[in-house]
Amino acid sequence: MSRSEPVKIHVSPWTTLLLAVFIWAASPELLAALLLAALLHELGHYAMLKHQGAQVEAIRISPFGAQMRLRPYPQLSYGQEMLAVLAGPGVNLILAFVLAAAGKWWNLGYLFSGAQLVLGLFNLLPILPLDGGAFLWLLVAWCTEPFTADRLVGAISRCMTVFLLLVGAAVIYLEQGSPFLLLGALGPVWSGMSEKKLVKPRISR
Amino acid sequence: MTGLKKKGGKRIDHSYAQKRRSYSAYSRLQQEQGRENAAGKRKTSARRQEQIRLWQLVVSAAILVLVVAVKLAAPQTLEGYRERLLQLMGEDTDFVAAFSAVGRAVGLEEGLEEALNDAYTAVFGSQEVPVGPAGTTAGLQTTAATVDTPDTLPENVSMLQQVLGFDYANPVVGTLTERFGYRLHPIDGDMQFHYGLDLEAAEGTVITSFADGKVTAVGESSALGKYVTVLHEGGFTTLYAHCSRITASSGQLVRMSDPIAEVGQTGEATGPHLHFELYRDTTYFNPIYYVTV
Repeated sequence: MSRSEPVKIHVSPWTTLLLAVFIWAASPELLAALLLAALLHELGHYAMLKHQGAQVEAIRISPFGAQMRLRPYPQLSYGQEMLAVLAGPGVNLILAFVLAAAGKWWNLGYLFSGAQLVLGLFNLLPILPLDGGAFLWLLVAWCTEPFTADRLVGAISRCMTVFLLLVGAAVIYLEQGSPFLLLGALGPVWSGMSEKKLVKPRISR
Repeated sequence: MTGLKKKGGKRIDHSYAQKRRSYSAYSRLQQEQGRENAAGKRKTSARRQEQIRLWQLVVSAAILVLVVAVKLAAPQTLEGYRERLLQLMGEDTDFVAAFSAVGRAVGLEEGLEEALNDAYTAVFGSQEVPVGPAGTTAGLQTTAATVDTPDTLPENVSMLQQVLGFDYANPVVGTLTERFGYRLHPIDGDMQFHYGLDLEAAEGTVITSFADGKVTAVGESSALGKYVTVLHEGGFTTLYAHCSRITASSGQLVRMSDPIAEVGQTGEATGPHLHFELYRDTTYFNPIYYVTV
């Protein structure tokens, strides 16, 4: 395998825009906590993929994380790929505990721990562009075959998204919270929609 | 294209074989197919899209650089717009406090229920205290109950409005920037109880006595900066902290609205403001009921 081929990195323009808004509106500690959680999450994926000998061909950075495209060979098994999918949230969950323990001596530890936990759990939601969805897809595909996985996990993703949106809207309505919060729920939907445009199965070639 | 799905069994098989066994390989395949399809259909527009994408990237990168530059060079410029935007969005959400509460729950620092409660309060905010004209006594029980998360109040705090029994007036004309209650400490960064009100005003603004009384202490501490306390009727004491200058002297008798100090940012302060406390013996009260903002 050629080691010299560089990894292509695509940055979605929305990422820089979102980052700009964030720098403008949020405190630097919060920004640092979230970016650190996101970075370590992706490094978790990357390290596990490397460990299993997969070759990352391109990385696409969007506001809702990074997607890695692998070279077709060497092909990972379902189990290996599931481990790689879980490695990201796994890093977040482990660090959430480590940082919370550090909170006793370091005030900001709790903030960083909370960011890790929230990011990790959010990514475990069974919605397809997220890690939870990808894990479920692999599991179903392993037990049955990819077409069933597509249909089943696609349906679960849509149901979960609608459910989360409804719950979010209800809570915000009842508690008169800020509609800004819905952005968090809209994230996966948006990313799911843009994904669909790219990944929609094309039967004819 | 939907028709093909039903008729073209062979094609489905062909594509299924290409799906291989893995999610990443599968989505990669689909991405490539999608791209080829699009290219086949609109070869000319592909180029334009590339151009549009390039422009999107350039424009948003420019905005990012601009925001960072302005934030670094003149942090105050953005502050005004930021506050207006947050107000527009009805922003009441303290994400730092919310994440910190989650973190404390992970660290088993506080009970899960307590932490969820804190996170919830941080996200959805506590109810606004209706600030009536000074001296309003109506509905004091109910307002007091919704001011804060009442189950976690420190022992030396009473959220109930007190009947003072004397005339009083605003110590300073300013804007309320921090309420009485739990808040994320602006310097220490953790949750602490804030035992007074913060009233923001320009450096040097005259601070006047809340009511008739006797100046009991003029001092300086690392936290409070230059401060002065006045003892009023019925054992109530008011404290005025972070002053730039104290103009009254210890033991002096003062009348309501007599000048006693000037606004400053001495001690632990992030800007010129008056930290105003009201207490009797060891119990702190919420001064919001007696101050018009």
